[in-house]
Amino acid sequence: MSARGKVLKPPMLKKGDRVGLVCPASRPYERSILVKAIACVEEMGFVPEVGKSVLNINGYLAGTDQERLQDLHQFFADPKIAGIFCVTGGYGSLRLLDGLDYDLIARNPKIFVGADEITTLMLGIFSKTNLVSCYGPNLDQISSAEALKSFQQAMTSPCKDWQLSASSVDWTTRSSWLTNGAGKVTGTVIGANLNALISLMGTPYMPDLTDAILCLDDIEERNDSLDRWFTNLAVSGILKKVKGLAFGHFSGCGPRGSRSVLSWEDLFYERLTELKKVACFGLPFGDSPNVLPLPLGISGVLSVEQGTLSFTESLFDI
Amino acid sequence: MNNLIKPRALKKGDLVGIIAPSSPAAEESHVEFTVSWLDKLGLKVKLGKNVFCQRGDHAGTEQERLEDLHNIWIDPQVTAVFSLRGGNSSVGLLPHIDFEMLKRHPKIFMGFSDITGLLIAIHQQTDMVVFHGPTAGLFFESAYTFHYFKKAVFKREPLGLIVDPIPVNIWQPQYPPTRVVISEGFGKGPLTGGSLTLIRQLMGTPYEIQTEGKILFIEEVGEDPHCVDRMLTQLLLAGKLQKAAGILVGECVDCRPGSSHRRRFNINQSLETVLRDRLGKLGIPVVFGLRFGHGSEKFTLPLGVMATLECSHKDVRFRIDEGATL
Repeated sequence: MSARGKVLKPPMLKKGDRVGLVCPASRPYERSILVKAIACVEEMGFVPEVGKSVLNINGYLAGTDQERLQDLHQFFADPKIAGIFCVTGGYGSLRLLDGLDYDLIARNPKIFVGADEITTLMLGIFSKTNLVSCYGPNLDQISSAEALKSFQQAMTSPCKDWQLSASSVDWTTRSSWLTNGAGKVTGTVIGANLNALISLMGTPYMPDLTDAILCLDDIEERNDSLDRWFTNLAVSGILKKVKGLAFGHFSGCGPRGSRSVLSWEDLFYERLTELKKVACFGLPFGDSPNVLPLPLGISGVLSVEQGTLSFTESLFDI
Repeated sequence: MNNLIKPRALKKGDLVGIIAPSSPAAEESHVEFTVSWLDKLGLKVKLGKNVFCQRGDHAGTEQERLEDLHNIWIDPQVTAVFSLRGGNSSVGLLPHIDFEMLKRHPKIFMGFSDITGLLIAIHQQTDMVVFHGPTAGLFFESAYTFHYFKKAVFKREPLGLIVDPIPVNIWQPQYPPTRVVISEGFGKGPLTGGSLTLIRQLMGTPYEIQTEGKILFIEEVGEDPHCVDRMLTQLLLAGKLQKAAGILVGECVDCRPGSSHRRRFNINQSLETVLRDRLGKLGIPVVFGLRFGHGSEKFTLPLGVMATLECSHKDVRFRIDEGATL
């Protein structure tokens, strides 16, 4: 990642800060999700400001591309807004990449948090401005008091000693997560929803993944689709270039009516073994009750034996 | 175009090879139908050694599938290579294919769906004309498919003006109509394309589709409209659609909201709305509904040969102007 140059870091949040809530992709499944998102932000001690278009309806999109862009631009430009959180994912942020004002974003670095399909925005912004961000959770993925507390901590502390750990089952002290290879690798941490990452292939918004620690998750996809996309990464040479891989939750992923009997895990594992790539499965990011925020764009260490992903620098400009 | 390598047309008595570079035949005896139909056409059949291998939805390991492709292709007796079926996993073979060998032995190669991965890569790496058409288990699925299949592999003449199939029941027409005009215009150029999912899977790889100045044809099966939006938007961001000479969108079977086994949205819009939104303002002719893709009626499209698309609200004419074989 040396060619990219110095990363741009946003200021850390503090209690009482105003935070913009956006839906750059789909609309919340139902109105109460927005009510819960507002309560969640207040519970963390921030003051939520809801984007104008979040409940707009335009097919599967929360308003037209122009309306969703306006919400983002307005919050990045407003000096009273300290950070921007996404309410929900779905599909549609990919459509905004050509219309985003990257100069405006670079002039006003703010902590931007999103997951799922919002991956495309976070990586697009990272590619064009070097602004680091936080891969998840979307506010509608916070479903436990622990998850809320972790998120609040991540936003209000330098989080140099932040760590994500794969968890063993209760009855054992031995490591019981799936791994490939051994040892520790250091690299720039890039978190992504796999399908969303693949949507950037061949476009000017794909970040350079050389020497990265690539962290992948996905939601409700078929084994054969996941296999197809992981093969895309392999054939493009990206899997060869990364230092290591960490896999989060793949909730709702499986055969889903397709005929494939090999799980995505089996299929990924085969490629990782063939490439002799250091990898660790079962880290707590992605769509799940114990989801932890994953800093995106800063340097981290993946330790296979410990089942941990830790960071060697802060996400924030401190 | 001057470098275009055309394979020899088939004639009675020829030996054709069958391989399974993607997914396996669901039932082994299905191959009997294929063999008997090829026999009716006066063709002899050589089956790849690993055609019946099964590994999840892959027809064997990459090594096994690759071995069949290379062994069948290098055989001087074999004049055409047909894929038994599509499915999943052909793209994994690409980094290991000996394209130089393929180029030294021009042959008719045909398939669709997952085979698109091989079609585009082989065509671009070798300049060979390859055929987007029925797999070996499907060329006899309808009179329409069979007509264009035979014409494509046995005749040297251009396929010419493409006509629609005769409707089975005029009282209950099948959606979509065969010629929905998404955008008017006139375009001329060599043909390229295939399954949209596969075109997407090649993005960012050395085999990424080249579309500039070409008539691009795309089709899809079993995807929700928002997934098609995602794929088209990716191609737009990569500049792949703006410079095409024209776009044909095939039948797109089971692409209505909620048809896929993947994520579903509670609010959705139709595929046609997505096509009009993403492809309607490019300034090139775009037509939706022509019968190629996953429906039982499909015409064969040779990649590399010149074609013309004239699209107006009064009339749509799609013509394949150049012969595909020697």
